[in-house]
Amino acid sequence: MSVAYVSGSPKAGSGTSLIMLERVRRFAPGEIWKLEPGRPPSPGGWEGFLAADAVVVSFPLYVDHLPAHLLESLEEAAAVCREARQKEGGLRLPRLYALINNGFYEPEHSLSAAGALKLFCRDSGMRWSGALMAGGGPVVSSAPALFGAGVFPFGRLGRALMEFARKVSALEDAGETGVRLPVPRRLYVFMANTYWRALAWKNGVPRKSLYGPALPPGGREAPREG
Amino acid sequence: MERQLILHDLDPETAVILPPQTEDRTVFAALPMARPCAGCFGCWVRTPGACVARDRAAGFAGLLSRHAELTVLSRMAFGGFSPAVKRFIDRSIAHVLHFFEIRGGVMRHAARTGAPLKLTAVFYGTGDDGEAMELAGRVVRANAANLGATAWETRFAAGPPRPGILGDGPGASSQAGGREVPPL
Repeated sequence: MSVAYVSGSPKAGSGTSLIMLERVRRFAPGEIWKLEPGRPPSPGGWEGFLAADAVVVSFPLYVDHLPAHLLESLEEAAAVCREARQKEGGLRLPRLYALINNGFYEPEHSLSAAGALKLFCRDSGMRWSGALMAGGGPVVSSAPALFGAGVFPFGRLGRALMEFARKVSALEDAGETGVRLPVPRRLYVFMANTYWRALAWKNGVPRKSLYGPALPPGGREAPREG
Repeated sequence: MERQLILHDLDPETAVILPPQTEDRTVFAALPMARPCAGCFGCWVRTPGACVARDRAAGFAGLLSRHAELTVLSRMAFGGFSPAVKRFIDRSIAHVLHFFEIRGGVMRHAARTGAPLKLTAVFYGTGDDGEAMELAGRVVRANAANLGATAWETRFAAGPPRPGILGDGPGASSQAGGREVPPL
């Protein structure tokens, strides 16, 4: 049984998407693949990638849909899959699982991204096998040690990831499951807004500047294009 | 404040079908593609209101804030905007604040300005793909809620872009809504 893991986060370093991916990978071993627009998947190209039994993609919700670079890669993947199926009618393609995190409290914001992946599966011929959607995503990357230890507030998410990994290992449908942080919504909003203020202070940005109008770099008039 | 900002993913030859740029209307091409969002949140906590990456998309949030209406003309891609358009949408999150609030019982980003905004999305090349159109309607509604838009509308054109596509043409179905926060 082979699993291909893909981080769809644009971040170079370790963010929530990669942390969640690695947690599942610990219990359902597989190889990390890189998927970039305009290039075949690495390390093994399209043939190797599509030979996997399952693909697990982990990414942050971007404006209620997939991040643009991941969207582009999946359009390319769908075209490759269609061509492969035309050449070999009985071709079996991998199952697709998703780990979707977002910064809101409610994991349900990610349902639209899960819907996009279902449409990808319909178009490509891969088999949609479910998603685990996590609200409060940034808390994971801001406290990776706590997450790793599986202690509050990450017990629920940790257990959900283990169960998700079990389904991936068994090549079973995982459904669409949402996990919230076990804190009241208002408390999470307060924590998140405090975190933003702290980050801005760390970057030397005056508090008043945070609320100013959206401007181009240097405060110049934004160029209008014809 | 200008009235309408049109963001489109047409190549230059096809883009002649669009209404011309005027003092009151800005026409902005999503091609050539901008860099994708790096997820650094610099547009919120480093250079508030503007993307830290210096390319065509850097000032798009500021441009958006100067218009009362955003009209997006895009090829359909898995129930959402095309990658070219989506790169600009992703990099325009500085249009709203990073701070959160609760609206309609659901967490949303707070508005940066109190100026009203109408969001209109026109998807072309949809054929009769009901599933994709249904998802696109939900996505645009969610986008409108997060942008703090006062009104939103989604339209679909089954075929390729044609003159008049941004108006109500034959065969273009429409979903519209007001300011209510959509249920999740």
